[in-house]
Amino acid sequence: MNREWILFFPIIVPAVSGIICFCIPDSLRKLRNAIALLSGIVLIWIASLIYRAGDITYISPWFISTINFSLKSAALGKFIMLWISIFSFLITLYVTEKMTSERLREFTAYLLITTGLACGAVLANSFVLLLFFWEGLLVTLYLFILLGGEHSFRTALKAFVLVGLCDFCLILGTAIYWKITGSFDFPAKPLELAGMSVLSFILMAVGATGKAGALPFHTWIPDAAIDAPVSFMALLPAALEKLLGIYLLTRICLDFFAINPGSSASIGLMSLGAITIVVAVCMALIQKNIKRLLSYHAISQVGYMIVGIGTGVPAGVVGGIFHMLNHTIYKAGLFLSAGSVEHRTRITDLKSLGGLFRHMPVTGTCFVICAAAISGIWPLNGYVSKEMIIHGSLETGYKIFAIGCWVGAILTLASFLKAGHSIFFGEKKQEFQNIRENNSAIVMPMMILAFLCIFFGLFNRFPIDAITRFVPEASHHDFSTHALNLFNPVSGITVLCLISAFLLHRYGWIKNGKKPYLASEVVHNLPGIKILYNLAERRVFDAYEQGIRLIRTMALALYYGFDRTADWFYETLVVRSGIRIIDSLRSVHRGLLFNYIGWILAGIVVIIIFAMAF
Amino acid sequence: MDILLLSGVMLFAGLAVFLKDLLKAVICLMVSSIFLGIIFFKLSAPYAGVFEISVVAGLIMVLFILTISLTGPEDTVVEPASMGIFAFLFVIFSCVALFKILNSGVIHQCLPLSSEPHGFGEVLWLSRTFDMVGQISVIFAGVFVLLAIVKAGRKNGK
Amino acid sequence: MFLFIFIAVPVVVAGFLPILSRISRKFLPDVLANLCFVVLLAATITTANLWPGGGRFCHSLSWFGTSLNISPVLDGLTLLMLFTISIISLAVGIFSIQYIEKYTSPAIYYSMLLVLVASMNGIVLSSDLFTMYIFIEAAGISSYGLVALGKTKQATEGAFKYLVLSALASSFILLGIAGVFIKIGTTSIKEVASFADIIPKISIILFLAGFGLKCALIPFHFWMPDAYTSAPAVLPAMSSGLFVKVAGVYAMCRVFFNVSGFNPSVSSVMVYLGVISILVGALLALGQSRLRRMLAYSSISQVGYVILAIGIGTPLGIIGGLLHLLYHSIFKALLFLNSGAVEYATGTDESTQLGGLGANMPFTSTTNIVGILSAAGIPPFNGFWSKLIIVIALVQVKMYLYAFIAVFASVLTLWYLLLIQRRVFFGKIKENLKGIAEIPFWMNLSMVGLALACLWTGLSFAPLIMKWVLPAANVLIEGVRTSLNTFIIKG
Repeated sequence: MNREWILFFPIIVPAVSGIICFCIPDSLRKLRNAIALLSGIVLIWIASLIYRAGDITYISPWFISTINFSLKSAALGKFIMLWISIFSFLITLYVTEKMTSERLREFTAYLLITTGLACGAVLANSFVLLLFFWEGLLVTLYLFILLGGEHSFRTALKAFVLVGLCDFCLILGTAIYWKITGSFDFPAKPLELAGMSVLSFILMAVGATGKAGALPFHTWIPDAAIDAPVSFMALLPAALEKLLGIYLLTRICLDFFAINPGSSASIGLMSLGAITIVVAVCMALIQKNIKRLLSYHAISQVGYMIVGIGTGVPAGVVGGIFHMLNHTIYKAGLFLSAGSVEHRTRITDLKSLGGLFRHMPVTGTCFVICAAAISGIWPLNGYVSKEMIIHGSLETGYKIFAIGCWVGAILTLASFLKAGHSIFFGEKKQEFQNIRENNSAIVMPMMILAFLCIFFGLFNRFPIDAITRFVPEASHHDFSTHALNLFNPVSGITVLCLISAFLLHRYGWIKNGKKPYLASEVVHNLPGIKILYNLAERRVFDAYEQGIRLIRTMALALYYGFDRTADWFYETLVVRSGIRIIDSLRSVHRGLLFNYIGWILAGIVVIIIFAMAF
Repeated sequence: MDILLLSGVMLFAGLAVFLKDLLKAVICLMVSSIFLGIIFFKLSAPYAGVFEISVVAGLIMVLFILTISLTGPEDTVVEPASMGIFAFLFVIFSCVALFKILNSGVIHQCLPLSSEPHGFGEVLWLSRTFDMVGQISVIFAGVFVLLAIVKAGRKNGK
Repeated sequence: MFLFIFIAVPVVVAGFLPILSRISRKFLPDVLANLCFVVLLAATITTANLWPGGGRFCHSLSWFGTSLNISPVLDGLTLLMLFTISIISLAVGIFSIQYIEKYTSPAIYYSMLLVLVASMNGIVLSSDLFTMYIFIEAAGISSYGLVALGKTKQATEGAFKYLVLSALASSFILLGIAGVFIKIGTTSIKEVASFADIIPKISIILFLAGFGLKCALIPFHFWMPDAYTSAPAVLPAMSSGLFVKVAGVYAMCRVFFNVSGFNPSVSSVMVYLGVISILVGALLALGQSRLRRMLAYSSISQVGYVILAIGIGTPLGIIGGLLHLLYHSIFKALLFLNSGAVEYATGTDESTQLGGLGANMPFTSTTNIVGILSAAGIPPFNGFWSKLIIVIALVQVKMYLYAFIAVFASVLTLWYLLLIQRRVFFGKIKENLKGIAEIPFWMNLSMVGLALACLWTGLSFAPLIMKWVLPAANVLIEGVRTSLNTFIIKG
């Protein structure tokens, strides 16, 4: 067996086990779970093998001359694949306990197939292959959301349309790229930004960031948070989409195009990131449902990653990638904890929860650790990556992006204080007397993730060095030694932000009658902002919803204006004349032999006359 | 003489197609084949003539007549109008084809047959052995087709 | 010895089958015949693997020292045809295991089928025009027998018309060969090719007419609908899938590319006839309500594509035409076998009397959809690639109108095929059809196998082209190059 064939395993192993799991009925549930978990472990092992081996490439010609089927495990790709396999395994473990049997079969199957597709996407070495796997992920996304129940269909459609639009931009961008370079393979040298390649860059960047969940393609995520199962939320919007979207964005900025710090492309990306951070976190602040709150934060954190990568400086890029990794860890941990609470209490509404820490201590601890990580509290991993991003953005010379990051940090901590306070602390509710902690299948993944938050914070040398190896320009930098340094101006401002967030929360809590879930009403009810919030909650700013309304009116106009007339034309011209022609042809074929022979001879005569002309 | 023979072939072949009585049509076919055999003899292809007369005119005709007399009389109906068109087109086709054949001078450029007459057996076995395989296939095909149709006919009760 | 087994094995087995049927009426003929097909398929694939990739491979037989003059000749085109023949004959053979019980005894049927296959192999392996003619005759007679197996009066009438027109075709071919023999003195393909310029024009026209009749080009197509409608479904699958291609398209290619040389008039005749066939066939198919008649017209249309593509003469066109030849055999055989399955289960193939069968016959319905999507040219099934290459070839030589017609006919194809699918398989099930069961296992297996073949050949079309179609196309391109020195080859 050739060494390169190992590249096929990460794609085929999960896909095949997914199909097998789909076919195993519920009566053999344990067998199915065993297969899924086993394939998850095998995948982690293969991914680690590939990670430690050198660069492996597999190329084979596919379509006659132009398109190659080429896979490559290099640099960032294999690092991401390792994490994809780890997350997939953790969610598989979690889901065996959390989900009911009817949906578990399909969920496991979709989960494994998605993993296979995602591995394929990061291993792809040619645009065509990348797009192929990317589109496959779109399909599984739709199927996942459909699992949520009868009314999840609209959200599934919305997700499909929005993410499909992003994918379409990606395809267009790829097509333009191909037009410029002439080949479908990933380039060896980045392309300069000039003329058409700018358009290609914009389209591809839109595709990548939209997939990751940035504005303005984000509106499906909060809806999916309500309608889709929470394990799905932990898997796709939290983990896989970020991994894949930011992976693609990194490749775009480093490998496909040459993005220089301070160039307009870089400023554009950073602006998109900063706007995403602020807008999403404002929306998150006022949410009363834990799942919606977490999903808005997911959107907000993507902004940090985009800012980081958009800076173009080594500190920013490494910080952005590290933040992506950290985000997947703590966001998945947060979703899993919320799911754990939901599993026992069946509620996700902040108003009705409270005082659960005594009953579910492990869940509560994990939640607290992950919440601290996302808010950027020293010495957890979130703090390290956010600091790197802020340092990087300051290096570009524009202070405004750093300010956006800091505002985000304030509001993030404020909203998580509210969330944590509402769920786990505060007054106990009567109906929660008998709540116990969950089983190990649910608790283990959360604990692993919480542990990673701490580990990657204190021993940030390991992940940062791994990432630095993959970013060429950063190879001679050393980020980890001073990462935890508290005594510089930037970290000082950060600490100030955190303290102000704490004060904000406390103020809101006291002002609203010591009800923690109303703590953010202070911000909510600020004069001008309240109107904006109300409009936002009524989906006025949701491009998709507005687009749907517009399309409905346009459709009516077109129907009466064009469709009826076109139909009339079609009916008289095409159908009637078609019937006449066909009838006249059929009259020739009556079945009389001599007629036939006559036609044949006539045909030959025509050919002879025709041939005589030559 | 040649014209008589050729026209005899065509006349009796046409009669065989257009006659309504099956038995008479088969007999016309037999006569037409005999004429063809005589033509073969005149073209100095004695073996071809022998085969033609013995196999077609003799064996197969006898088989046909037996079959027909065993199955009873049947009708065939031909539409007159289409025959007219067909006849017209057939005449046109023959004229054009004859015209082209005569004009292209193919007839005059016939290569003479080689001087040493190969034995018939030699020709068939040595130089055209593949054709023998083909002939065997044809015979097999014909036999199986007859078997199938007869069996199918028996199944139908016809 | 090796090449000869393609002809010898089926004939020998066919000879033994009637005798063996006395022992075991059904089992032994089934097993032997299908084993024979499997052996043929294996032999084809082995030959392809041993194939050096170019040139002709001539095999002279010898019988105990004296050399017999049996020399089958193998080149790339032959190999492609052998491959097509073996695949489709295997599928049809497996299908007939349970299907043919209704019509006749299996032994006789398989004997006819084997002789048909042997004759078709003989056509493609022969190196001599007259030998080719004899095998065409043999194949014609056996396919006539297969047509006549249908029991109704309509079947006999159709068989009769088929026989007459087939005889007409054979006489044209024989006249053409006679013309060649008179002028040149030999009928061996190699030797005639060296005298290509003195082949009389009338022979070319007669060949065109004769082979055109065999491959059902307009205006030579009249036998096809009548012959296919009432025959047992295996016949249209074999005939349209194989015999039309072998005796018609293959022979035409052999004669016009390798023997007589490719000149512009022949090219334009092929192109015109091809495009007319595409259009008229598709239009006629729209008006049909009987499943098999519609598929017959559809075959006329699809063979038009093949002839059109090969008639262009550019390498890409030839590749597209040959690829469509292979793919059309597969999906058309699938569609015909499906119609046979419907008739087996319900007793009729008139679509106005059918409806809603999809619930009771899921396999048939699905494989029918696969066949329809392939025929209409929807990716990732195989029809898409071959039609795409044909359209690209047409655009390359700036025949934009023809390219448009090709795509338009493809849309028409999808239209009428989907119409039939909707009428027959979807919708509410009619009262009298409520108790219909799915068809028996072997018929199912054959159809599912063909459907998978459609998918697989669609996905892996590139290695397929490399291995089978490109050597075949090279043979024809050689013919084009040697005959036209100033022909500018694009692509």
